[in-house]
Amino acid sequence: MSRRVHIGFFEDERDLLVAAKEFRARGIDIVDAYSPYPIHGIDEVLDIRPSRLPWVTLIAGATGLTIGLYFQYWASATDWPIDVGGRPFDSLPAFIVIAFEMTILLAGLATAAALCMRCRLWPGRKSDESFATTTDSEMALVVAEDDARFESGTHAEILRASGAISTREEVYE
Amino acid sequence: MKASSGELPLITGGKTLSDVTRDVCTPIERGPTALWRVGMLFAVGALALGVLSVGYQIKTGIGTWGLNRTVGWGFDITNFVFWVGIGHAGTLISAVLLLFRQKWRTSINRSAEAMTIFAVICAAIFPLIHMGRPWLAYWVFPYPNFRGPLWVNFRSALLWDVFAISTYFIISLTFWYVGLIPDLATMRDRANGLRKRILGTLSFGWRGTARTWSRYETACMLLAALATPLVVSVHSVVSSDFATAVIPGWHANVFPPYFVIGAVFSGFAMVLTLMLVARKVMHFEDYITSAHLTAMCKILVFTGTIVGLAYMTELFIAWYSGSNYEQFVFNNRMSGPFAWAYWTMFSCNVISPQLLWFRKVRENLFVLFILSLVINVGMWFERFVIIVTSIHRDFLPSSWSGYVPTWIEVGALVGSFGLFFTCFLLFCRFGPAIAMFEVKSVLTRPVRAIDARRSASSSKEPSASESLSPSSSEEAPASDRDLTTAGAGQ
Amino acid sequence: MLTESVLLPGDLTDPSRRAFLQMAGFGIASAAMTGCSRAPSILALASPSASTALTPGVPYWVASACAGCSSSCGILARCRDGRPIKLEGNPDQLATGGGLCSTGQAEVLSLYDSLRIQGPLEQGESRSWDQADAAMQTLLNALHGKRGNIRLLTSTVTSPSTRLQIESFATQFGAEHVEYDALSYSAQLDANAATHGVRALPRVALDKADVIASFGADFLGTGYAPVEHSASWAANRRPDSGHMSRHWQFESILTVTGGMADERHRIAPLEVLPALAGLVELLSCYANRIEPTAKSLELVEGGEAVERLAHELWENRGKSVVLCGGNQFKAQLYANQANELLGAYGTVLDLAKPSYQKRGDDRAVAGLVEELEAGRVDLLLVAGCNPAYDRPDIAAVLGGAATIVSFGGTVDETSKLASWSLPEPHFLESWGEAEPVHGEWVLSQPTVAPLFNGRTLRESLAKWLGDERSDRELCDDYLREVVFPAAGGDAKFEDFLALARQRGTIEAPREELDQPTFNARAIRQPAELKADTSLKLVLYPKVGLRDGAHAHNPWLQELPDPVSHIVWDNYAALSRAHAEELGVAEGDLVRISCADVEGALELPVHIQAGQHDRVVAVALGYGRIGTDRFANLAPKWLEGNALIEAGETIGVNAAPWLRIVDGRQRSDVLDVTITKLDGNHELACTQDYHRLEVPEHLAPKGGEVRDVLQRTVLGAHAAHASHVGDAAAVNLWPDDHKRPGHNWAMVVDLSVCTGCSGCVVSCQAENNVPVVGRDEVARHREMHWLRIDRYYGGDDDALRVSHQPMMCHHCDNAPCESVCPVLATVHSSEGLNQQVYNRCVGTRYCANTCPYKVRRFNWFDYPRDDEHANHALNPDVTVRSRGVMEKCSMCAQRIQEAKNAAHREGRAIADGEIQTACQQSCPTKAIVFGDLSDPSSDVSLAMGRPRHYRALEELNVRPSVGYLTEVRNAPGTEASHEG
Repeated sequence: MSRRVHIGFFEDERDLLVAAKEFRARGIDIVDAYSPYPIHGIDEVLDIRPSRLPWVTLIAGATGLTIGLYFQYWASATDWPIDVGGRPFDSLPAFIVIAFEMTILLAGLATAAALCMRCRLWPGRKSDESFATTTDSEMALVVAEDDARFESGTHAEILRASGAISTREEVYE
Repeated sequence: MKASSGELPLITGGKTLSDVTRDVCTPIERGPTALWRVGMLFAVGALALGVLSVGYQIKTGIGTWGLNRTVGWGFDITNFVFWVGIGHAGTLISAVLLLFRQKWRTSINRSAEAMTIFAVICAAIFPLIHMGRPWLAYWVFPYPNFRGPLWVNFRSALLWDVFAISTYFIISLTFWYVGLIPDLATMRDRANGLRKRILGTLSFGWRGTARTWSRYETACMLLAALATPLVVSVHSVVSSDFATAVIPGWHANVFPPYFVIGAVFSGFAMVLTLMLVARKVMHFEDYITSAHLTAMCKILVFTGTIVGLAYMTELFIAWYSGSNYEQFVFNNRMSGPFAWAYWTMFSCNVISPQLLWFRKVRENLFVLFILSLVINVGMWFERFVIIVTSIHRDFLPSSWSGYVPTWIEVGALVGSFGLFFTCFLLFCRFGPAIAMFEVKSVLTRPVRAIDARRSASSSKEPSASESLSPSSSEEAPASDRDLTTAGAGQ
Repeated sequence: MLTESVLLPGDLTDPSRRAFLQMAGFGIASAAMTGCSRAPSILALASPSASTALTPGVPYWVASACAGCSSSCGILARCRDGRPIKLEGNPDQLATGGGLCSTGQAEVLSLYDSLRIQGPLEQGESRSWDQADAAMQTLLNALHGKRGNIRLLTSTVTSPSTRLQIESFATQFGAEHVEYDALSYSAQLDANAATHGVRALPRVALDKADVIASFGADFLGTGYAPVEHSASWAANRRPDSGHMSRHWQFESILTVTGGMADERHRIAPLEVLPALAGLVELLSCYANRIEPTAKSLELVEGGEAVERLAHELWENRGKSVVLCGGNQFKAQLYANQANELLGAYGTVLDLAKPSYQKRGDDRAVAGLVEELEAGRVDLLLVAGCNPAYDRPDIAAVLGGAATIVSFGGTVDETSKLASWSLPEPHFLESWGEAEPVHGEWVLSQPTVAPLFNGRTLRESLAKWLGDERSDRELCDDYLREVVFPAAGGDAKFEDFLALARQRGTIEAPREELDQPTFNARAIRQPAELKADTSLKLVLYPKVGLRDGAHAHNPWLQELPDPVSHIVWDNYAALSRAHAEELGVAEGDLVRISCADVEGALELPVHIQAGQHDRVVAVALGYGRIGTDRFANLAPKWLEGNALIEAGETIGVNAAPWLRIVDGRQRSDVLDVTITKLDGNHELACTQDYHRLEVPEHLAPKGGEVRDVLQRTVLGAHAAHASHVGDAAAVNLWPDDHKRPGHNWAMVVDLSVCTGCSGCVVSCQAENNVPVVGRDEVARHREMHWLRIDRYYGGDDDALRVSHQPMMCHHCDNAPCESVCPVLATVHSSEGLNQQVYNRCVGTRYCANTCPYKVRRFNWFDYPRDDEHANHALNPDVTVRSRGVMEKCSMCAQRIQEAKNAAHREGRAIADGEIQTACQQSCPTKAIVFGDLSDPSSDVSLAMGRPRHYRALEELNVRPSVGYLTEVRNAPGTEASHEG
């Protein structure tokens, strides 16, 4: 179903936050916000839940640790035990270093990969040109027009009132 | 350190968001400056020399180095440890300072991290070429094979290096690139044509929505949290090459912390060098301000002092151990054939940083530049002293010998610097040397844009001086916002 | 083409080869008959396919005799596929007991010398033997017709069968045979002739001597039978019984022997005579029970030492001996008189069963020189010697010979002057026998088909006498006619011969000459003695190069000299005091000049501990022409220095500075002056630091001396017993590594290691250790797997030299193994530290962490492009490529061979069955190798000795190599490291 949205462009995150709070107060649905740097405090307004990326990191790390430890043990003590400098076949203390590195490696890569997938970031992905300015100095707030409580023009007014330098209407398919 | 961001304005010149974008992007979009070309000329020249030396050495044999039956490692591993050390500052700035919410890192972390990447590349080359048969270097990886399968020796500190260094490189690279994405997007949106297409691909279609930013910040914090123990582990592992060996002067428990702090020390010295250069070459005076320099100076004094402490500890332990071999090694370092190297190291690393206690020294950029170089020389000698003076006279007097590097070895060292600066200059030329979105997030803006416009409509344009005044920069919402968003990754 | 000639019988027209083939059947038969694993020579000469007894790839032993010098030690040649690859001492030879010196070890490489003369040459033009014989026949007949003077100049001829031919040749053509030794013993021979009527050297049984007094005699290093003398000397040097001989040395330069002495005194060359005279005076006083006085000693610095010596000798008369080096007739007379007074003859010295290892007669040479000067020599045949190089008096007048015919096997200074060059074959490719000691023969036989077209002097002379017998027949007939009747018993001659050839030696109860009596009248008026404080030039032979006959052998050139540890050079050795006085440092060039010698010696200085202050010593044997053959030996790279430029020689020839004094060649009489030149020549020395004491300004308290080499004195060694704590108790780890089977280990007795370095070359030959050249050694990149660390103790006046053979210690907790990233060095279940060459990537981490610094890295691809020399490679040992680490493997290939044999025969390996190359070669049996799992094995017993310790034991690396503390029979009871 298509919906009509109003987009307001701001120069100052503080203006944008004021507008966002206003819409929220009026129960108007905020579609999204664009900014050249992370705006603090917007998560509450848009009620964005904390990311679950830490879980990915934890699981990947645990996997790295296990693989690292077990493989070293298996290779040195089980698969082909060789007398190396009289050290015991299972030289656990010596294996810790590499196990640790494996932990970090897997955790790190998994986190980055998860981020890209969750945010739909990958090489060659098209980005919406209509928000080009938001990577430079402007921030954009996108609010949906709600047919149920239709007050024509209010959205634009609120946006302008709270400091938007320009507004636009669009229809999202 | 934290206070340092308060004393002086981090970003001067009353920059607006778009100023930041412009200042960082235009040098990239404009053609290279003459200064850059000159720098590049030297860098590539040095690199070429290195390629020749190393090529000749690989073709002819390790014999083209000044090593012998007693001294099996010289310049090669010295350079390796030196470069790994350099790398550490980058990660420290981007990760540790991020965790500590240090705002002042924002304008230097990007290039510091680039430095890390390039330094690790330089470092990784030496363990490779120091092998008698480098073409078989892949044998150090535990890949399935038909020799049994014969795996590798997981007890060898050298193998730990393999894993530590490659992990360190991969994670740093990831961390760095993740950080680049938003800025690449900014550049993309300024560009058009082929340039736009390329940047479009590189920036993964970034479009900073609130949700993206929120996950992005989390991810960056996680990566930072991973990179921090990693950076500590890497030089600890490197130090194990020596600490786990039986050779007096190598076999020292103090090595891991000693090496890590040494690495940070040399790393920051190198960052300082580069920043002072970049500042001039790329006209970043407003972004790399005395606030940043002061902060780095303080870190240098701090780490330099700890390094001095480490030297003292070494001496004390040698004496306290009661081991004659241990004691001899240190007597030999201080007054043996390589005493000159030991005292060079000592004066460069322990004495020279103490000058930074003086404001006069800290504020004189030229002196600062020289000092940063001196420290790097000292740190190179530290590794040289540890490696060579320990093995050239170990247990059996019959086997004592000297070590004189050949020109081929020197060539390899020069070449590594060539490689490093070539990479760095290329990066300054084609990449955002300053993390725009982070700098933007710490910009201090006195009044809300809307009020600014209102007042503007009455009395024309607000004077720059007003926005500069310290009082206004202290304004609550701004600094509060800075403090928190400074936490944004990258 | 060489390989063919090795593996195939070759053309049958060559008489020598025909003879071999005729013998083939018999050879195999006898092998079967005796069931001896040692093959008779013949197998070496047939192609593998031609003989059932010779399996390709299976090694076999051929008994032969070494002709590297005139000592004529029995050897066993280890052969494979019809060619020798390693020489070892023949344990069946009583005299040597199975040891072999460095020269002998290196002979296998000389055999494959591609620059040997390949056939008869006339003025350098190649000729056939028929042409050569025709020419010689006409020449000889012509001379015979007009009573021409024919002279045959040789070094000592040790082969009786050759002597026979020479005698008949002499009688036939009225020729005269003159023998000389480059390192002359003429004076001693003459003295013995004078005092005992026997012109021979005494057989010396040092094991019977409790006091040995040597005046400049280097009997352990470069004497006339170093292997034999080392063996008998060592027999009485093992202190475990609490008793060992006491060895005094009075010498002007430091020799291998002097280094081992219990009491060593520096003495000027000219002080030897008064010292000996004084000794004789004292001994006669003792003998006549009158108050001992010796005014001659007033001329000797520190003469009191001689007085103490005299007393000790007298106290042990019958068990004491005086040995005198140098070629000074009067000194030798005094020595003989002293020995007579001490009753040494018949006990320690044996002239009834004398040695024939040196026979040279300088006075005969003097005669020849006169004739040559007068141009009265029509034909000069030169065999087995190189007078143009090593005898200045002859060299000066060689032009006086109308025709010179050289029998030298290689192009040398003399053969260059010869109109004909009729090369003798290498002893490893020809028949022969020698009688080094009266009534003891060693038989030599071919180990390989002749590589080149040579012919022995024996056969040539026979041929010119119209005797058509083959070389082998000549030898056999001698054995049949002379030896067999004496030694044969009632066996058939063929059986006797077959047995003898397999055993390699024959002892015969040949009619003993009765112990000659001492002729006191020989000692007429005592020599006029005078003090002399001038600076003397002393020319001496080195253990490696001796008289220079082997200067073309790279193994010997690169053998670290046991005294100086310098390779590839000779030098002017000065005492430290003297060098400081002259203001010269190591390597500085100096000019040595002398009033009555034109020219000058320009040499780099080497500061030599223990040398007399008024002596400059220069080694003989260097400056041989053709040594520029080594120009391409060193690896070539940007900063590499060429070993030598074309046309140059390795070192400088000092032989022209030998002098003839009352008819005898002297090497220690020239008064010289030294002037410093500018310029410096770096001497390549394998050791930079020579003491166990660390430099004073670096020495920590209590750590002034490294105890890696432990030295003590006889009185203390019991107390000294195992003073190093037993670290073996401590272990952090579970013991995952049991030794189910063998547990190989080695013990080296430092008391009897003389540093002679036979083991070093033996190891090099066995393990294909490359030669790297002067520059690489100067860069401390020598490749020897086994090195001998040499430490000085005490000061120049009381110098004590200790040697410590240092090879891989095969540590059970090896530091090298745990650091290798790719498992290229790991431990075997038999306690061996294994280096896996093809797995090694060359990080050199292992070498850095090796506390003993015994690992060797292939810095370059070392040239192995001499296809001939490559035949000396041991096929059982990999030739290592560039970039890999290598080290002592405890001769793993020998261990494996023995294990296979034992397995095939379903038996256990007997103790002593496996001998490492170094152990086998050691004349003093200082090295013991064996299985620790067998509590009764020699090595287990040795490790149980109180003297046993392990170097760097405190590191708990648990080396499998141990040492027995070096004990000297010096006064005192204090255990000390300085000695």
